[in-house]
Amino acid sequence: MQDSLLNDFLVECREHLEGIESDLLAIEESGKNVDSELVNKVFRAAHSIKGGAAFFNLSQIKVLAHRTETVLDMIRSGKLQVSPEIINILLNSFDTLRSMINNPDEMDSVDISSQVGALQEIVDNSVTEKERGSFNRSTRLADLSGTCSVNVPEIDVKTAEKEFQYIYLIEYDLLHDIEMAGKSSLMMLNSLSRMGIIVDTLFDIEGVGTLDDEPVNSIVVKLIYRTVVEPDLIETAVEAGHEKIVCIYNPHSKKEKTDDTNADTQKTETFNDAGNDDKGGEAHTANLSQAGSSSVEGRSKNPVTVTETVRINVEALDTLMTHAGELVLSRNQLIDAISRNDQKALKTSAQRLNFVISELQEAVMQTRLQPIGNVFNKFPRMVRDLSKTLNKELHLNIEGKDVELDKTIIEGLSDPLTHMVRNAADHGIESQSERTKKGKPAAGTITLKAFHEAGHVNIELSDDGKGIDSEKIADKAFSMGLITEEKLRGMTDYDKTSLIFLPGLSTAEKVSETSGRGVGMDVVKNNLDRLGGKVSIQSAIGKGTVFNIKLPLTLAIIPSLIIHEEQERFAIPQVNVIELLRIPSVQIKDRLQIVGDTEVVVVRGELIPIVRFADLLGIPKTYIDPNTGNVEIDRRSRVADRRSKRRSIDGRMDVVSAEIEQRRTGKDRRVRAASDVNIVIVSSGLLQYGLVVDNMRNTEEIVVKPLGTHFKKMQEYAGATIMGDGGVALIIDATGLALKAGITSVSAAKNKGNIADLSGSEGEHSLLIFENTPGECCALLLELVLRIEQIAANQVEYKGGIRSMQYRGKSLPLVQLSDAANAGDVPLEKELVVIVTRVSNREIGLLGLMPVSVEERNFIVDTTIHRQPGICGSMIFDEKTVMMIDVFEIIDKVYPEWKTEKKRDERNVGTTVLLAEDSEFFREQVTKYLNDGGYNVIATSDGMEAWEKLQEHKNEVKLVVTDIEMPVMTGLELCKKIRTDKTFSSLPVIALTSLAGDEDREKGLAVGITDYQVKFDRDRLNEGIKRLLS
Amino acid sequence: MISIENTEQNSILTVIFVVDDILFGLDAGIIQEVVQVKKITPVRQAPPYIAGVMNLRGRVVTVIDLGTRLEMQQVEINDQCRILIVEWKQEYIGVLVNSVSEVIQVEKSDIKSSPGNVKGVQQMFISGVFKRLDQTHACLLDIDKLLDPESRENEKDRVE
Repeated sequence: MQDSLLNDFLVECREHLEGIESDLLAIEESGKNVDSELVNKVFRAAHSIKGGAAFFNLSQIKVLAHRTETVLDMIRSGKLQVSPEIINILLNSFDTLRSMINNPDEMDSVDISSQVGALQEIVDNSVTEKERGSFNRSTRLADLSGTCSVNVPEIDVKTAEKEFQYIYLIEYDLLHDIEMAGKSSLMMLNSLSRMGIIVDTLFDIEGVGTLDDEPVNSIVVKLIYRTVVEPDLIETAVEAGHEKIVCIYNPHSKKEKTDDTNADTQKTETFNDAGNDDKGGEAHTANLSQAGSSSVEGRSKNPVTVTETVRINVEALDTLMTHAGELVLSRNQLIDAISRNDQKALKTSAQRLNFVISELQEAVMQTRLQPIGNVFNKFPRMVRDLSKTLNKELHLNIEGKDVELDKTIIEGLSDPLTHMVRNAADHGIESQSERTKKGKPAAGTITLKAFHEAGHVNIELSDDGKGIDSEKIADKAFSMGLITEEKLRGMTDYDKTSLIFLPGLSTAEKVSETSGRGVGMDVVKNNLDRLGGKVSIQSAIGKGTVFNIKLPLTLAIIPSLIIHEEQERFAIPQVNVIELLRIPSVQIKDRLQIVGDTEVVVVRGELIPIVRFADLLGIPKTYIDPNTGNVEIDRRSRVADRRSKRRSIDGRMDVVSAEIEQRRTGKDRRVRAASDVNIVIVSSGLLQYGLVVDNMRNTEEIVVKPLGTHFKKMQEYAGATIMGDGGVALIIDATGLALKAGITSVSAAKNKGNIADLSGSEGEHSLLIFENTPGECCALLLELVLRIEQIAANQVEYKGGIRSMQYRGKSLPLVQLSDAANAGDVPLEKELVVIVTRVSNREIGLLGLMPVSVEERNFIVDTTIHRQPGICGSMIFDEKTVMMIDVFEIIDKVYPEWKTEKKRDERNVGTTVLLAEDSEFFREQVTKYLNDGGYNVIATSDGMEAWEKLQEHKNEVKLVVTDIEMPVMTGLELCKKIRTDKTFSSLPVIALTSLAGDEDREKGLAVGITDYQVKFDRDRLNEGIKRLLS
Repeated sequence: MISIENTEQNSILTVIFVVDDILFGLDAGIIQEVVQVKKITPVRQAPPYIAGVMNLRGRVVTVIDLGTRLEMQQVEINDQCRILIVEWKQEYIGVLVNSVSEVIQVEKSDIKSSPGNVKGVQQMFISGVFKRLDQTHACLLDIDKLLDPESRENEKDRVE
């Protein structure tokens, strides 16, 4: 038998087997209400495999497939009740079939006896005494003339009888009828299978002769074929050439017979008795093994290597052909245009080529696309088996089976997904008792979902299990020395959870017990990385875990943004690009800021860390010296410094920068001093950061080429590509760059999506988060912070009861939370931070611990639970309690004389100020501050209420302090109203803001706001009021 | 032109080239072609001996600066420079040299082991020395060690 035919058969078998698992599981699920269509499908698969195997003399496969078929047939006819045990055995048998088919060279060594035995047992147990044996017994049937007779399994005769089918004996000559007619045996088998069932295949071994004989010119194969096709049509139906077709069973004639004979007598007519049957069976198998061994010999000489094939539907091939044709036409056009030197024609043909090639590319891609169901389909079975072995009730939901992906990606997905699903079932979902204890449904649910999103495919694997404890992961990673304490401190929960991808961490046996998840997650990540996939985790303790995998549609061609840095070009895959920013030079000081030691850019109120691309890769920045015309190396280090005046956090000009600026004015060496800044916001997983680049070009479809062995260890690049001009550009790996830059997700918190109910919140503010003692989180409004300094513990001096440190040549007094509140002292052995703030015109430092982060978010302050001197309230951030620091109270406690000092020159005691502020927390705070300043306060919660109160207290109110964003009536509307009313036209209005942009200020000034003050800065607010009132 | 067929196994067809004014040789059998230097795209953060990557008819080829690799003077790009394209472990790699001087047959019997006073990387990468007709010496290089990204690191470990 030809290897190519065998190969075709094996490929087809694999296709048959592909959907079987899920079908069997569906059959199991349906229980009594068996979906006969589904059973039929599985039956047909088993049957086709049996038929083909018989044809190719693959006896092991044939026997097993045949037994399986028998059982399925019984299910189909309702003789057998489906039970999990039966399905188990069937699944097992199909597994064995699959493994035999996958390793055709070793199939004869596979032991199938246990499966065959189990299947036989099913049959024996369920078949009535009378029917038993009909599966093994055969009936001798002969044609009318009686010239040829064959053994036909009794069951088939019975089925034929029941379903009014004919049984034929078809004799093919392999050499003449099939090979020479240009058909393949498989095609023939397939066409037969469409109309009926091939019961058995018999080889006429003697007919072939031996090598000593004359060269044979015919190989005869006899098929026993059961079908409804009637004798007068059968010849055309099987496309008969020289085949001999003999009808050996005619249901109608039988029926006529049975009309006058009863069933028992019919049985006696048939040619069988138990003893004979056994021998017949033996003889049959002997025949087979003889034939089998000869074919095995033939195979082992040329071992069957199963070549990979893709099935393409003819339509797709036709499309390809059409495009190829068009390509030829375009080429001719192009040649013509070139020879005539016709610019216009050149352009047209270039356009045409462009069009045709993209169509062609698409069509070729199509041929490689496969539904993701090919991978997903194996999970129902797996989850079912896991459910048994783990003794947990598990449900698997699958969505988006039809989503298509490149073949290579589909194949590469199988292993990592298997691993992740197993992990979810094993470690993610709790034991049944644990679940009931927690009030969860006893059955755990795992959901596997595929969907398209913005040019790539997302796969989401979620479970409703116990979730991942990020802290435990972090502890483990730290204790194993995989991460430094320093890095850990700057990490958000998301970052910590992501640590399970660290190599070494997850492979450790113990972690799976303590962390609950993640054996071999590094391997999973590596596999996905290789596919160009990005994996991210979100987990809530007690609620579950969601893994998200983003995959490209194909690995070969990707759309990318081309950027220029000095003379070098780079490509950033479009999937990583979130948005492009061009910050005009005038806005740089507002939008680029420095938080801790990171530069950030403000995008719609969100802080995104930025990295200078050239610095990261070490590309020397150059500029052309205007005096000499030479290219010189630029030494400016920070974007903000580099570009323009730098604004420090409090909005005032940093003294040093301003000086530099002064020095440079007039004779500025920097050619691009005032140029705009280009930022590409890229994402990798949930992490977002900005890359500052020289120049952004267009987006191009680039062909990905691998980089050589020498670059294997580099994380910066994902590959290379060849540009239109023949030069090479490197492809940026966004994740690798982030790692290299040491970026942790400052803004990841906002991505959590848990912005639950924000009514009653204090609005969005920037908060500086730090720790007082380890684990004791504190927050300070960012507006109050002048600078943050990282210091060593030994810099803190303690003399005469006053804590201080040397700072810029002066002594900076230091306070800490425990000075006022009942809190722990800042441990002095750790790395310290000093948060510099300004109170009563004095700079003062607040001691804290790393990590320091800035979070811009909505929050609700609870002013009752943690309220005490120095702490004005508390909030819950990511399930952690954060205390809101009142730095003024701390300072008042430590330096009471500063406050009295101020009070003395207070001449405004008794002056009434109207306050409009919607947030209860801020209203109380500001009221307190104003009271501290000696003012009476009428507090209102929105513009409208303020307006009403203003009417009431016309004569008392000397000044209005208002928030901008308020319900019912905003501060700006209130101000407009005040200004349009004659009585109040000269009443000073102070607007309270957080970091307001110039735009907002302009708007405010336009409606008549007199002054802006920072909400939480007591001293400056009071000073501002004093200035306006005097 | 000398064809490889008519020479016996006892001689090696060798490409002779110059790096930092010193003559080196590589077995011509492993060299696919010698190309002029067009554009080499630098790869930032790569090991220093990597000059960059280049486009060789649609293939992205790693180019190694042999001067830096041998811890000698870096090859400065000029018209004399050539890149030897070597197929190594199913990958094309370019070896950047100052100039290529000739292709000669070297009798195996003429190849001597490298003198003991050659130290460090050079000793590691040099597999032998032979005398040319004009009595100058040239060093044969061991391409496997030369191109293996790990080899220098290993050497350093050994020395330390």
